[in-house]
Amino acid sequence: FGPETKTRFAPSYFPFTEPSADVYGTCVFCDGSGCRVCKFTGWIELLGSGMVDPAVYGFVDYNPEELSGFAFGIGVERFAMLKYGVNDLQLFFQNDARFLQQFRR
Amino acid sequence: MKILLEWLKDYVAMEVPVAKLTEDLALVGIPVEAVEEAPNNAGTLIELEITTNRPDLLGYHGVAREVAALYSQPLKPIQPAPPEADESAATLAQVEIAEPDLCHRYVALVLRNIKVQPSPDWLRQRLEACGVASINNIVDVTNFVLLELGHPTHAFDLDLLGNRRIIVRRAQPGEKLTTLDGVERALKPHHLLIADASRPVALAGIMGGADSEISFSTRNVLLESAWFEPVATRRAAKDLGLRTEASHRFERGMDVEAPLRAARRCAQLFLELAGGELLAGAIDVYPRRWQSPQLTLRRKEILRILGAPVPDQATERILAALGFTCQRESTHQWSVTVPSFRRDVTREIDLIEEIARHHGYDKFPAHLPAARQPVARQPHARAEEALRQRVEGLGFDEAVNFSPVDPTEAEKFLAPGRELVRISKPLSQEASVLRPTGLLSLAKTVARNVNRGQRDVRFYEIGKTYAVEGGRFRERRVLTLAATGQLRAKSVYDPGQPYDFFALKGALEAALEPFALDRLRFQSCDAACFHPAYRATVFAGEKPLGVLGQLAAPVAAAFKLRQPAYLAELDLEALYAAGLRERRYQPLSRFPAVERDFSLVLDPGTSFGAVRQVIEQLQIPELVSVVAVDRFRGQPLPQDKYSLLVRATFQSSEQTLAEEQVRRFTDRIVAALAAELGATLRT
Repeated sequence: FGPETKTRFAPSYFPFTEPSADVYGTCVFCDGSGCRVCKFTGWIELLGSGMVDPAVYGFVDYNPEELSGFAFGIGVERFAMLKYGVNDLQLFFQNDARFLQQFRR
Repeated sequence: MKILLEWLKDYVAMEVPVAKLTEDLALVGIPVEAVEEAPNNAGTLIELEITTNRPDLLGYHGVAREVAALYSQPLKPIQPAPPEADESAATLAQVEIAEPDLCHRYVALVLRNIKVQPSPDWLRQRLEACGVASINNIVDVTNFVLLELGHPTHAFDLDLLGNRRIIVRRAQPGEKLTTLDGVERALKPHHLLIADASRPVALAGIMGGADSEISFSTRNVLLESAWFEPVATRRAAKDLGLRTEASHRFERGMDVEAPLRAARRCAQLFLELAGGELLAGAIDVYPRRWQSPQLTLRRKEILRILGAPVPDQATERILAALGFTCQRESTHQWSVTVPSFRRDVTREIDLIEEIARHHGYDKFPAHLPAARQPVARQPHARAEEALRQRVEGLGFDEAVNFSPVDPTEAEKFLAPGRELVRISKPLSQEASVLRPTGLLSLAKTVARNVNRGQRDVRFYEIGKTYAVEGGRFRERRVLTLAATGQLRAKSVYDPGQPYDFFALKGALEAALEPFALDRLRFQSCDAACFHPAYRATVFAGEKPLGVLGQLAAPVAAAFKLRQPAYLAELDLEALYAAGLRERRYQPLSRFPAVERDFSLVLDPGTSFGAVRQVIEQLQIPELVSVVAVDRFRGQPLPQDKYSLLVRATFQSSEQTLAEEQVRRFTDRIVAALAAELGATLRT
């Protein structure tokens, strides 16, 4: 999104992270000044993240007292929509040649 | 949850502008979705997004507690103590809980001689601002307390309850209840009910019954304030297709210490707005008491998880403001008691989250952790990238399709000896098996595009296929290609060229060129999904790599595809096992090359591949290439033969080839072709 993009972490909740955070970036549509897409906050939600909840380590026999980790999930289609201005999520799953041809390398 | 700011101020002082409040709430984990003016001019409404782990925020007092913690302000306590009459409530009503695991507490208050009438303006305004319709003073008070304390209560007309008894029990087979929305509901045995001596009077935690609801003729009230188990409430609500403010809260876990306070608060307001008297003593059946978890909070654990220290003073202030009791156990740890309205906090890590979010996530400086090992490349990244570059260069666009597919479609592409992998709980019949091949996916992709007017398209897909082979599950990674329409578009200077089987064969050869494979060999195959005259297996030496062909007419018709389509699929495991060719410079010859043409007369079954193989097996080192140039049938050839013009090129790196040397080569070639293939030269 460019080097001018600011980021911000806000507390959130996911069952598998504790503490959890939503990561926001400067709204790509209004450059942070506020618009309908970012509900006039100037920030757009990019991804969810957090410290892996200790209970999760139990499933893989790791000791949460010894290990800590963080996790984040980026919706790749969401990022593509934000970066390229794609307005419909379904386009990524329809394989319309006119859509795919716009992204030839 | 919609919060009217002017109402919230009843519980905590807030002198900040709305914009700052919404920002601050977001930064402690309560995002604000909207800020608007209440429809009835009652003030400013902010809509909060409450995550599922915070049912304590489904009420004004809970939200006020967060605001109080944010701004280090006192939280106004709600401690109702309404005056009681002499007569005891127990003489007028009785409560029994038959299912203590599903109802941990049931509080009932009894009020006598109240007058049901419309609510005063202040109450109506507040409810309407929050989108709750005003009904009468009794019902409105219960809704008010639902919003204020976040705890649901229900008022029954006491005189309409059989024997003035309440029994909390499961439904019996065949029982029905008409709820206060007028709908008759058939109950199932796992549904928890509030019943009187003879029949159900309410769906526990969800909705009251019509027969016992408050009306303008009600004189005596039994007020229920209870705790119902989340999973049972949710299951019943889903079964019956109901979602109410009450069920929403019970599903998420209410505070089992709240019922008495919520009941008294309602009673306090009933007395104020409806008169009458409150009978003495709450009926409080409390079979499963709240046990506060005792947690140990270690300072070093705060540091380990958050990455920067938090001053003890901040830790203690935050936890106390949020309702936790914090006691120092030693210099490096505290003993913390969890309040009953925070069922989501059960471990030390949960306390650490509370501290972090109120201290401020921005107080933890960002730094990149040191990685002790280098980044590792996936084993076949280079090979796959080379493949993609070739394929994209040949004009194919990458498609991505889902693996779950329709079994009737998948069967058209299933090779013998393989079975479909079935999904045990599919979402639909059309997605109930895993695709055995990518050919199905791209055939449909092509059909969809062609039928939308995109007739010249080429797609590739790198994905997984699934089958049961020899009784075992087998996943294979494949490259699938599909092309249809024109290879070259018609234009003013070019008549154009349709894409055909040989174009796909050429594309496949070009795509495989970077790989260290033995000579490619195409052999006719019998895959049922392809046209019988245009289908082949491609081998690298003896190893099968994949298949290609023109989509068979019946299959194309099934997908409503009305033009020829050409598809191929390669097994990537086999390809990657071979790896990319190591490039090594081959010195260029300084001597001229010589071409010789052979006009061969062959049997129709003899392929050029066979001719080439015979020639190459002679192992003439100076042979540089053998290609087919032209093909001829008909007179003056006999009917059972055809003619193939084959061009061989010879070149030596040591000398210019002399005529007799070349003639020796051509003689050997003609002799070998005659002996092995019965080929003759055209005269």
